[in-house]
Amino acid sequence: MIERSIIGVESKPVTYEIEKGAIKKFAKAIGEDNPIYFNEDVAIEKGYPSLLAPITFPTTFREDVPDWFSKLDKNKLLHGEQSYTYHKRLFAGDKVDVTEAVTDVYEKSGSNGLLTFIIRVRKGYKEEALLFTEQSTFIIRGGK
Amino acid sequence: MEQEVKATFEKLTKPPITRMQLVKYAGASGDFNPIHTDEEFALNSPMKGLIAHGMLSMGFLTQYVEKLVGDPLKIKEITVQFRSIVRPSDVISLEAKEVVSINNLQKLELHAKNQHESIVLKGEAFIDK
Repeated sequence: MIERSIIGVESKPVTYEIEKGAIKKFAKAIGEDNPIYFNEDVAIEKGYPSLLAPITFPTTFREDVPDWFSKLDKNKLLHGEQSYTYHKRLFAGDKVDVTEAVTDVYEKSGSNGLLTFIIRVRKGYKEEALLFTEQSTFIIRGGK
Repeated sequence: MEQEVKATFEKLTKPPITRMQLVKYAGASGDFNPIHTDEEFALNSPMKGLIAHGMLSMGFLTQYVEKLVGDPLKIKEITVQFRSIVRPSDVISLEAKEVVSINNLQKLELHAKNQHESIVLKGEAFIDK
């Protein structure tokens, strides 16, 4: 059962340190072949401080899973939408403070019955400057 | 409303999705939902079989956009809708069209399609000029 009461304010930040090994592993898993994700010398030659983190890398920030998410029935969970807006990209060595908030919960009835939509927004900050915003739409089939 | 297409880019076709790739993506992303890696769980679920992480297809799409744009740091925003499921052995192709420019940003319309030409992912990206 999904309650609108999970809509709320931005959580306290969780700090993630971006590791070179994690970037390489993630880049390899998505079939990336650009050396800026694997070879620090190439990245530095491009003027980057270290390896660049792929655009979707913040999806790996999963240390602090909120209660409402762990309680979702994974059999009924669909990923509807995802977006990333970057002010500044992430690099290996960065320490990123990530907050999250559920910004909306609503229901729609479709041909397959009731669907519950949950909108989650996460923001990444470095020294209080906003680096990126990630927005995810989760869809729960069957609703309440 | 259809937007005027200013340019169409060459598509990129990725190698077929493998189960090993889903295991690796689960490990690298931390998304251990068994629907992606546990065949028995997946067969008994409403999905009736393993499905690929939507975020894996989004990863393909961001790679493709970076190849088109050249400088990865120029990509300011990318949004996708997951339209249909992707399964192991599916072959994903990425397509892009340049549409309007808004406030110094180029807008690309993006699609990922499977081997049956069905749209699995629809998106847009905004690129610094």
